[in-house]
Amino acid sequence: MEFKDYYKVMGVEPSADTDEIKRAYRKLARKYHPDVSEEPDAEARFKEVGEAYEVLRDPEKRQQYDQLRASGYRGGESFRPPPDWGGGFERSGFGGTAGPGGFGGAEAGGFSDFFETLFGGAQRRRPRKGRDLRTRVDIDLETAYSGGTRRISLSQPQAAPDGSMRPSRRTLDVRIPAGMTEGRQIRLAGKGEPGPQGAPPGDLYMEIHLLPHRLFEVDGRDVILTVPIAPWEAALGARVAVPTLGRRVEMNIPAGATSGQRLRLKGRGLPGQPPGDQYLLLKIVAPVPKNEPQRELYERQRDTFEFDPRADLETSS
Amino acid sequence: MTNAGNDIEQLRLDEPEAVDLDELCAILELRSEVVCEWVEEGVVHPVGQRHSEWRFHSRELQRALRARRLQRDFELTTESLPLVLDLIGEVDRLRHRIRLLEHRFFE
Repeated sequence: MEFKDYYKVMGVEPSADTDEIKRAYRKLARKYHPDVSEEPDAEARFKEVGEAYEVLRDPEKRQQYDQLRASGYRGGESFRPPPDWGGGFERSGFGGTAGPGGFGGAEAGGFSDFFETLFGGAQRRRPRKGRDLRTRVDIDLETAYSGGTRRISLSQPQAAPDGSMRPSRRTLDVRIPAGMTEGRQIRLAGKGEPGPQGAPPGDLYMEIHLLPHRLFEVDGRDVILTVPIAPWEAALGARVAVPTLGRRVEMNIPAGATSGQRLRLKGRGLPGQPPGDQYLLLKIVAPVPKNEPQRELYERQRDTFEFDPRADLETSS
Repeated sequence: MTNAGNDIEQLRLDEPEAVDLDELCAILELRSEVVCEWVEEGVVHPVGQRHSEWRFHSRELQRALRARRLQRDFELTTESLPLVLDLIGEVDRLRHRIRLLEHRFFE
């Protein structure tokens, strides 16, 4: 087990007072809180900071930690607690429980072994429900539309016969109903970690994320498809076949259509109450002339149309 | 349900039923007076008129959990929670829009 330098994690001197530690925590929490941060390792960093703050804000825990640190341990060094660890101290605090539905589930790591070894006694004395687990389920758009099954694997500690906690894998086949949207969180009551000493199990929170699709973009329940059309289809109108999530449909492109124009196919988005729509985003694509007749056709167009596509770019100066 | 043959649990993510006030309090580890204050202040929005009829659908549960984390980690006041939640929601929506537009125009 590694000794953790909580002062370094918080970016404060060991002499820092409680107010300084609180200010440092707030600053780091704003930067790494998973509800607001876009940093790639935000969740892991926030846990680290939360754990350090949990110790340094509590005078009793901080005193115990400082005592260990004073004996020469430094961050990253191998650490074993002294045999008399905890003697003379009344351990208190919440002992590394995760916040409700929070980011402290075993899947996300919880507090470190280092913390649990030093301060985990209180939780063991006071059985409460098992830890909530939180996991991400990536699904493709077809599954979001029609439903399907995904296999996911969770890592969670399990009590070994000697009472120690060992990491173990748990495999789940998750049946996903149709109509899931990005960021949707599902709570499965009692499917989290088993509760200690007969306490009820925690809950399992699954957060749905949609994988990028080759053709469709997704916005809530709506899906957007970019549809390339030829200049003559835009000018004259056309009937074209386009894919939707369910099947191909035919639709009319109105004469005089423009690039960027959006057409709506009502109710062709993701299922729900109400279902989403599918939007077609028109994109005019001009073919490259490959022979003399094609080149001549473009030249005739140039000479026939009195058309300046950049007229709006003219300035008075 | 567990498939005993290979220890693979089978789970269904069917739309969970909405939770009532007591269940929400248990999940959040909050007293009911606090959740009632949250409802009054617009932190969460139940369906139903009386406390005993309140049901919190999954999106509201998600919002309540986020509120709980933010209040715990930043010591936010109840009055400030709706604003913070709405702003974070708006930031999420705008980030998603930006990703869509970047994908459309630059990839």
